[in-house]
Amino acid sequence: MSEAIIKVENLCFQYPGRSVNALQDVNLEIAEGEFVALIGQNGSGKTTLIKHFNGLLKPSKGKVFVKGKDTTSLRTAELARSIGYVFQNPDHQIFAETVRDEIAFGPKNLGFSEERINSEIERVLKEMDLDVDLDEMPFQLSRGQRQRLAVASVLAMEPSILIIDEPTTGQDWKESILLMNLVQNLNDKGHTCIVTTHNMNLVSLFARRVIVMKSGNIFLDGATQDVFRREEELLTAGIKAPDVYLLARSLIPQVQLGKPLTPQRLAELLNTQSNLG
Amino acid sequence: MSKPIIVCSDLSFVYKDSKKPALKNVSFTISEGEFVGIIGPTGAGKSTLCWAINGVIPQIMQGKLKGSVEVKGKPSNKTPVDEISQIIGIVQQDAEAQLLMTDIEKEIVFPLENLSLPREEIHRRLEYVINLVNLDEERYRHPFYLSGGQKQRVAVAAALAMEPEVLILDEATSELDPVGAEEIHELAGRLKKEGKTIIMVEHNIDELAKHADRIIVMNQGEILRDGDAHEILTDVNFLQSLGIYPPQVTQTAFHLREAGWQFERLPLNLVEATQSISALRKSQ
Amino acid sequence: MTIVLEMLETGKAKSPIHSCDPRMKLLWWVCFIIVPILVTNPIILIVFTAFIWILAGVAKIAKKMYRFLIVTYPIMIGFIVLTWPFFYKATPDQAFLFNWSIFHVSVEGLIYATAMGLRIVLALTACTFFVMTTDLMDLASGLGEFLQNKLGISYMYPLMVISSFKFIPELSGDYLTITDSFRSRALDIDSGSFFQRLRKLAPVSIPLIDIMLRRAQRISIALEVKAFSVNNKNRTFFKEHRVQAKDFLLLSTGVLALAISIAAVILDVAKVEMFF
Repeated sequence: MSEAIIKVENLCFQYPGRSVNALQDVNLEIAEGEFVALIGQNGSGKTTLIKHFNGLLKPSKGKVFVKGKDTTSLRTAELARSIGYVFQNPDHQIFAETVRDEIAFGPKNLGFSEERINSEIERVLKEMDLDVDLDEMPFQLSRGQRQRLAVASVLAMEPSILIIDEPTTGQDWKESILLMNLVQNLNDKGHTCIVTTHNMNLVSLFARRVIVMKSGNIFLDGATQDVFRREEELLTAGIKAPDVYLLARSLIPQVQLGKPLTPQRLAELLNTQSNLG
Repeated sequence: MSKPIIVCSDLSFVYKDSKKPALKNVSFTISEGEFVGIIGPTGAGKSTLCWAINGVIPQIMQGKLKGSVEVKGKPSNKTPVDEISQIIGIVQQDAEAQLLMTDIEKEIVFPLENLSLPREEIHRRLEYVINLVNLDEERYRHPFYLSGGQKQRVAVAAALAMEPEVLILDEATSELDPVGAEEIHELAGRLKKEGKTIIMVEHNIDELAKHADRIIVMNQGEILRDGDAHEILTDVNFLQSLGIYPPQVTQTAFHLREAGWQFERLPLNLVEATQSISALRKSQ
Repeated sequence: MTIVLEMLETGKAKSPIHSCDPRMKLLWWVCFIIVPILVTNPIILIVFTAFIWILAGVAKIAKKMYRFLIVTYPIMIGFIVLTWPFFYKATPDQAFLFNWSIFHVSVEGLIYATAMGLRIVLALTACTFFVMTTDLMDLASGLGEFLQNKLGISYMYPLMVISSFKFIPELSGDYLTITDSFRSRALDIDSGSFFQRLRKLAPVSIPLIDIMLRRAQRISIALEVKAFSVNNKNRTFFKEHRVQAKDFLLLSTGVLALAISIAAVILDVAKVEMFF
């Protein structure tokens, strides 16, 4: 196991004026190069937790370390070099008149040279499979393209960690899959990826590790196939395991899964089981 | 066959300031009591179709309309929107944008006050719908304090208070968490049992499969298919070609069939799948 | 923002005072706003403030009012105490405690400052009590009913007021999300001078305006679907406001307080100077 790139120690957080802790004694380590899905009902503390990773929120108690540095002393603008945070709705961030300016915004704030910015623009457009004119107005792009532009403009700051908050909102399955495949490519190149989502089908296709939040705490944490096999516990956290896991449980409860389950893989397992029997 | 309530004939629509038609020669009839699911990728024209049914298109959102939609015999492009709203209730994706008032009771009562109904009648309808959506205890809460699912239930209640015969849910669950989405699907199922006609635009095929009798598949402004829900939702190749994710159990059975398993018909939900696959395993 | 929402929510509670006609409560409030304008006599001010606290007990909001005012009272009083030496004219016949440059602290001056503070306290208490016992949205719709049925004025204006209380908290939420998303793109909004920060916020305004415009369009559709018409002069008002005996009882306390104050002015005992 490589060294933890994000480390959370006894993190508690209370929003001002609220009596209940939004996060209650959270401990967590994420290693470099992981692909993690963070799931849980609304209000379970997912967003509060990831906002601590890039310093938008500071711990009420406990500590958060990113690349070994305590986030308490760092501003979000400084953390942006290490952590890219893509918000749920691209329309909350898109402001520029051209695609070029939109992508250049973050790198400019970080003081990148013009040369470096230009090469970044080219790179991230390729990474996000955006075949658009640099002078095009972002508002004229489709919703799916705007989402990818939002990711591109975060990637241009060269963060090694990428956080994506709910990539499915306002998009259909095809667009979500397209985006997630691109994120997968980034992960293959060594980026650490953290995705929060309500779409369990997406989780079972991409994540290798699943963290389940419940009432401000980490409720389950483990390999995707292991977490999704604990369907009763998941239900108490308001999560329904993907149907393939439920089907596997009633048909082949004795089989060790080894890796995440997809319909195709379940069919293969069922097929070999039956042939053996 | 029961009475037709929405008749759409050869409907085409182009938004103002746009060249590409959002709807192309769309024709269908929906009868009383049906539960129709509309599916298709983004840009298929699903929402445009919903707005055309209740007259917001072309009356408020303007553009060029050809063909016609008739709602209980009334042309939707010429009948005032508030009159159609009493036949067709619509709930959209963005829960917040449809709520205008500072608590649930005021929200439900607002359209009824606008219709100048007598106080007793408003009271009767308010109590009925607020209990139907199970929000009696929250009735004086500001929407700011409600969950996404609760807000959508308020939107449903406000639409139902106008006593429409048809309820359109246009991606009403797409911004909700699974618990919130479940609340809306469960409510839709109950309304179906009460005899309401339901039209549901939905991305989540698993949930849609629970209640829909009929599916209309749209792509790029056209209707690709219109027919029996089970038949269309188990057509894995067809759905995947449109970038739609079929239910996982259906996909599993689909792969098994390719490996030679003899399914009578592909299952659509977990119960069906467990039964049919175990039966086949035993017989092998 | 949340404190405003919380006060609005308190206004929806149930108690003998909450259930009074909001329009009568408005008149009551007007009385108690006029009193501290007329009166600076600390005894009268203290008695009236105490009276409102007793009413707050009846309305079961004393605790919430306390939590809000315990912060607000000291700020107001502190403000008065810090500023009065600039305004109070020192005359040689006063009992001076302290004399330096433009600061002349005398016993009379202190009493005067206390009286000024008490005026603010009374006004503040009356306002808080009014807001915490009245559903302001009900008041708006009650006034809307009056405007429509008696003056033929469209419900559009009260509706705008009510809707703004629905949308402002949401917009402030949007604003926070947008600024967070810009912070995440290394925009350093939190440092620099006021004007530097203001300039940095310029890009933030664009998505915010965009969202507001989209909202506005959806609201106009929602209004149409919900059968709202500016020209409808027969709109029903569901909430019935019937003036009851207790409404008059409440209002009479306001009128009485006002009457006492006017009497005090006539009898020349309304001013704090009578103690000098």
